Order: sequence, then structure tokens, then C-alpha cells
Amino acid sequence: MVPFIFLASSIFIPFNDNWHHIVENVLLDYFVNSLSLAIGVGFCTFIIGTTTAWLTSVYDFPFRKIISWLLLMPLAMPAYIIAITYVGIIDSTSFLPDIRNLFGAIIMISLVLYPYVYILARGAFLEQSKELHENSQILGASQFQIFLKVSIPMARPAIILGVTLAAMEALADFGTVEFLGVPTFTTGIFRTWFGMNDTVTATQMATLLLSIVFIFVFIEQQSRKKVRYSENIKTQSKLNYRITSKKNNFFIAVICIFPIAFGFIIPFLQLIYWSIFISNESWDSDFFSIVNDTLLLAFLASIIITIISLLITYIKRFSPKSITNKFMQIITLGYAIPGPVVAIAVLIPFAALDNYINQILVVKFNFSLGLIFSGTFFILIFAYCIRFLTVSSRTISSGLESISLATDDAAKSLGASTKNILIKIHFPMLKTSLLTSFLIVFIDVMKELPLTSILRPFNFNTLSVKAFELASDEKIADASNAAIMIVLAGIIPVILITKNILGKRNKV
Amino acid sequence: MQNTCFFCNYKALQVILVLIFTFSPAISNASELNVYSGRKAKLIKPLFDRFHAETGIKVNIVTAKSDALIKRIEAEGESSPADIFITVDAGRIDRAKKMGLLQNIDTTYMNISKNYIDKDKKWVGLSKRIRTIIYSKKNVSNNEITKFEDLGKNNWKGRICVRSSNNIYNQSLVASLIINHGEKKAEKIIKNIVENFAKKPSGNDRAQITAVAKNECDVAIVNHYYYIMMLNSKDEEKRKIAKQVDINFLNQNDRGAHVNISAIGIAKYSKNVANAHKLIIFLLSKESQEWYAKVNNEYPVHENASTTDLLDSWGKIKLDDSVINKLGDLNTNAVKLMDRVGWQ
Repeated sequence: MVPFIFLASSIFIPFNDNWHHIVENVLLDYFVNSLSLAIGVGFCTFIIGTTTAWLTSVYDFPFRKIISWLLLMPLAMPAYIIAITYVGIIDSTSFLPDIRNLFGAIIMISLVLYPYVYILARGAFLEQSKELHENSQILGASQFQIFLKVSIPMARPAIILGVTLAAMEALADFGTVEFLGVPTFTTGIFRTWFGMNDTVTATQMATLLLSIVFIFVFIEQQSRKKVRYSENIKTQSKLNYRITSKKNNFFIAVICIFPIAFGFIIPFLQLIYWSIFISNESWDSDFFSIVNDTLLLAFLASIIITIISLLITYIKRFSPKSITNKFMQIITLGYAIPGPVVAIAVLIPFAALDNYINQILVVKFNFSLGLIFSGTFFILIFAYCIRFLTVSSRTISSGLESISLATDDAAKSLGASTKNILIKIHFPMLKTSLLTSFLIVFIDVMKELPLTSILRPFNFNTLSVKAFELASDEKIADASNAAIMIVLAGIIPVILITKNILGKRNKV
Repeated sequence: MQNTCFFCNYKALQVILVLIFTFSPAISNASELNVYSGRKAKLIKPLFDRFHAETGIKVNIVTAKSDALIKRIEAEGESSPADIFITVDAGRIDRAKKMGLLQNIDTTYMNISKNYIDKDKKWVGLSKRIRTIIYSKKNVSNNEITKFEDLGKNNWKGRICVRSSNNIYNQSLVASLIINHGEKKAEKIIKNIVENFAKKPSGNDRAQITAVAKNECDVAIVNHYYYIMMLNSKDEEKRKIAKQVDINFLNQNDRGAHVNISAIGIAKYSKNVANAHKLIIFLLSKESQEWYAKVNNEYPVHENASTTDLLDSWGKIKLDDSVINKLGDLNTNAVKLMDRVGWQ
């Protein structure tokens, strides 16, 4: 909570000249661009994510299994890397349109973020019952009508969650929009901090951004309150694949391959080309120790964050009116705050605490411990929590929401203890959400850049930091090894999660 | 039941792991030096490794954006483990100095020109980078332009490419114009230049060079070493692009071409001041200085250090180096100026 109070308190510092300068000259641009970016990314990820999720859930077509997990792969691709590869490709041809504009930024970011919507929507579609679809068909609905009027509304919480996450990440993005030359709120925040050396105004801008996000999320939650989406009977049989005509099969496969090709295969091949023919970097032991550090950090962080999210979600379920719950709701907005702002917001309070402890130690024992919290892994993981609890807790809570409260009551009336309800009923039903949360946080931490780079301890390096250092030094080809490794490491959790979703299907 | 227990144990194991991980405080050690570097690890660590081999002093390093590191040093205050701070531009190191984060350096044994030493001796330069123009060999004749200010003239309409004004090198460049011309005149010059842009600024310096080769514009404002990187690239396409352009150092008949530096200072609360000096003297030695030229094609600050054949072939370049000390002061003004004239 402290970092949020820190951010919010910036509002009470009077606005200075820089603030007025920004309001007069550039704020409108930032606002319009950021809003268009968020809406554009939200829209594109919605279209790509729900379409592919629907097709892979309902139809049977050649290579369906492999396509359904390949559709997740773009998630492992950092957005700024995909932007750089496409600019590289476009620059070496003369007929492709320029993507160095707002439109290009929306496409680039959507190509790597649609898996959020895909993964969540697919999970929700697969939970829908076969009977429901059959009933709709009997009532004369076409497949498309079912998709539009039954499946999407029923999967609404999951889809909205995916779209919100994608839009929030787009708002906080710096690397991609900066590279593509789109001035947004986030680039404005850094410009104010770095260019004008004015952290106060930068923090005020971040608070403004956060307030806007808060309003949107609040409206969405209010609108959701009116309806609870859980099917009453959980024993219905799950959706089953339909076989369609060969012509359609081919068509469906092509549609699904599109986002894979553009979001993953093409940029990945470009990276491999750079890595083999142009890169000066070698795959030495130094490189593998970085791989090791990255995986360990991502693993630890995603486990810790998933556990904390689970706690938060249960507080929300069992005591939705408590003050703790209200605080938690605010904390889970961290995803929309740009990384460096999170970094200052955790660094300043913890460093102050460290200094305070050291002062006491020096006075009493003439002895100093150095930095205990800041400058260690503690602060790094804490900062990840601030940033990624959003993804994690929302994923888990959307899973938990689909377990109706009536289920709990039924179990209780049969004499089950709360502990038993959690372990025997909730845990198995939540497994997909927990794994999804773990996967997304794992990949996000692996891709995370500014927080890691600012807060990390000495001599600690991650793939993403390495890739960015080389890429920002305009040695993109040299960055390709690290980028490839991020993608490859991302495959492991992707396979894990897909197996889980597919495994569920096989049991039917 | 077994299932539950497994879960508990697993959780306990994680907690222990995390505790081990987190509570290994960063305590400064006398035989080690802690460096916060705005310069990329790749462009400095090999020198630290050599220093370690020669002196036995191990150098620990954290790299990030200079501004973020400044904030980190400031927040950490007296407990900060940082001994050395390195930036890739004069403005940032000067900012650290103004915030009282640096201590005096004894520059007695340092063989560099006074323009590359802070007037209060809080920092020294490590290497020089020149920001100038490259031009299309096809569309621009060799002496069509000699002064940066002339880029604002009508005949350059729609012919100039440059990256975003978020970039520190552009901010320093504009700051240098403010110092040389005063804010009003500088604003007029920049406004004219912005009106001559061929397109909205985007991409990095290499992208600007590529744009010139693709005839999207005729000149681009870039740092000299990016051009050399493309000339020496392993990628044939990049070399082809670089061969279609040539470099031109501006303002050779007056103040000299715009130059910026990477710089180094000793953190105020460093506990290893003697070793910190040793490291700085090592980085300023002739051998280390020649490494900068070799690895990143930057110009050394050491007066007698040799450079590469290519840098030599460009001859002695007149540099606008008397303003380096003041770039930091005018950075905010530069940013606001660029906002006002619409340089995105």
C-alpha cells in the first residue's frame, strides 16, 4: 500500500512550471494517443483473441492441438522486440507500409498481447456446456449467432479481463511507442523525469494516468455487479468438437495461423537470421548464467505472486466489504503504472527504512548493515508484486467467480469444513486459473525491463535487460540471442498450461 | 491428507528460499568497488575485468538508465553501496553533481583537457561522441551545408530526418544551441529546422541513416559512431546503406561540431575512495582510452591516445567542447523548447 500512498501524495505537492508547460503544450497529445492506443489494443486483442479462442474450442481442424498452443507463443515476445524486428523487415523492403506511427504501435502491441484474451476466453468457452449450445441450435441459432449471443456474453468476465490487461499493459508500455515515435502518457512521464529532472511532476502525471484507469475499471466492475455469470449445474457435459467440411477446415486453420505467423513465426525467424548471420554475441557460459538467473527469478516471483493473489482473492470472496478488500482492489491496479514509476515508488520508502534502521544500529552498536531491503531481491520481488498482482489476482478471481457461492453453501450443508471446501472443491476447480496466473506472471517477469534494471542487485542480469541494452545501443542483431532465449524459455510454461487445458478436454 | 502436507512443505521450502535470496544485504567490501553505470555493461565491463586482473580489486556493476540510478543513489543516501557513477552524457553526471551525490576527484594524474573535467572537479570525461549529420551522396553535394543553423533554411524543406526529442543526445544538442545563441534565437533556429523535417521523428539513429539511404530524406542528425557501426556491420545490407551516405562535421569554421561525453564520478558516500581513484586513473590510461575507440568508435579524452584508421582518416575535428560543463543546466529548457516548437 505504501507505494500507492507515495504516488497519491504527489497530488498534494503544488503543481509547478513544468506541469503548466506540459498542460499547455503536450498533455492533450499524450492523452489522445494513450487513449487511442488503449482502445485500439483492446479492440484488436478482443477480435483476435476471441475469434481464435472460439475456433479452437468449437471446431476440429487439422493441427488443432499444435495451433492451439502456438497461439500462445506471441506472449513470450517482448513488444519492443517485435517492433524492432518488423521495422528491420520493412526497412529492407520497399513495398511494405511504414509502422512507425500510432497504427503500427497498436498492431505491434496487439500481436503480442492478444494471447491474454485468447487464453482466458478459451478457458471460459471450454467451461461452457454442450447442452447450452445444443439448446441454442435447436432454437435456430447459427454457429455465428451462438458465438456472438451466447458464448461471448457468458465468457464476458474472462474476455473483459483479458482486454483490460492488454489495454493496461499498452498504457504502461514505453519501449515500443518510443521506438515507433508515438508520444504517449508514459513517454511523457519519462520525458518529464529524465529530460526535465522533475520526479514530482512525473509522479503527478502517473497518478493522473492511474486515476483514469481506476475510473474505467470501476465503471466496468459496477456494470458487472448486476449479473453473476455462473452456470448452475456443473455436471453438464462440456463442449465437443464439431467436424466441419474440408473447405471450412482449411479456412479456419488459416485464420488461426495468421496471428501465429505475424506475432511469432515471422519475427522469430528474423531473430534467428540475425542471430546466425549477423550477431557478434556468443552462446557462452556467461550467457547461460544469465538464462539461469532469469528463470530462477521468474519462477520465484511468479510463485510468490500467485500465492499472494490467492490470498487477496479469498479475502474478496469471503469478506467483500472489509477495508482490506478495498485496499486490495487499489493495489491490483499496478499493471497500468509504468515500471520506472513503480520503481521509484518502492525504492524511496524502502531506502528510507534501510537508512532509518542503519542510523539506529550505528547509534546503538556502531555498526551498519548496509541496504537490507532496497538493493536486494526483496525489493525486486516486492516491485513485481505491485506490478503483476493485477494480472495474477484478476485471473484467479475470474476463476473463483465461476465457482458459484451456492457450491460453497451446498458443501457446507453437507458438513464440509472451510479447509475441505478449499482443498477438495476450490483447488481442483481453480487449477487452470492458478496455472494461467503462474504462466502469465512468469512470462511477464521474464520480459520485464525497467523495474529489473533499476532495482536489481549488483552483477545480476536478466535476458530482457541484456536484450534491451544491446537493442537500445542499436545492436539489435546482437540482442537476438537473448530475445530468442526469452521466447524459448517462454515455451515451457506455455506447454504446461496448454497441457492443462487440453488435459481437461481429454477427460470428457 | 498427504496432499495437504506436501503443499505445506513445499510452501515452507519456498519461504526459506526467498529468505536466503532476499536477506543477503549489499554490504560494501574494501577489496571491491561498486559501480552504478548508465553505460551498457558490454561497453565497460571488459575494462573492469582487466582492472580486476591487474589490481585484484573486483568491480561489481549495476547498469540502468542514468536518471534511474541517480534516483537510486539519492534514495539510498548514506547507506548507498555505490562507489562510482558512470553516465553516457554530460548533462546527467552534472545533474548528479548538482544534487550533491558526488565527491571531489583528485585529477592530478589525469592527462586530459580541462574541457573534459568538471570545473568543480566532481566528474571527468571518459570518451567523446560527436553529434553531426550524415547526408545522401546522391542528393547532397559535399559542401552544400557547413553550419548546423543552416538546416533551418528553406532549401532543406522536407529533407531532414532525426529521432525523437526524448533522446538525450538531441536534448544536449539543443542545450548547446541555447548556450551558443541564447534561448530566443535558439528557439527560432530549432523551429525552422523542425518545419523542415521530412517525417515525424521515430526510430533510432540507425533508422535515420536508413531513411536517408531510402531517399525518405537527404540528411540525418546522428552520433558519429552509429554511422561507423553500420559501415563495419556484418550485415551486408547495413554496409550497403552506410555506403550510400557520408558524414559531415558541421560548424568547423566557428564553434566546432557538437560533442557530448560519457563521464565518471565518485559517489558521495563511497567507502572506497582510494580504490575509486585507482579505477578512474585506470580508465583514463592510454591503453584503456584506446579501447573505447576500438570497441565503440568513440574519441578518447586522453590527449595522446591513438584512434582507429577510420577516425584518423577524418582528421582533426574542431569540437564545441567549451559548453560541455553547462549542458546539464539547460537540459530542462531544451526539452521545453522542443515541446513548444513541436519536435515530438
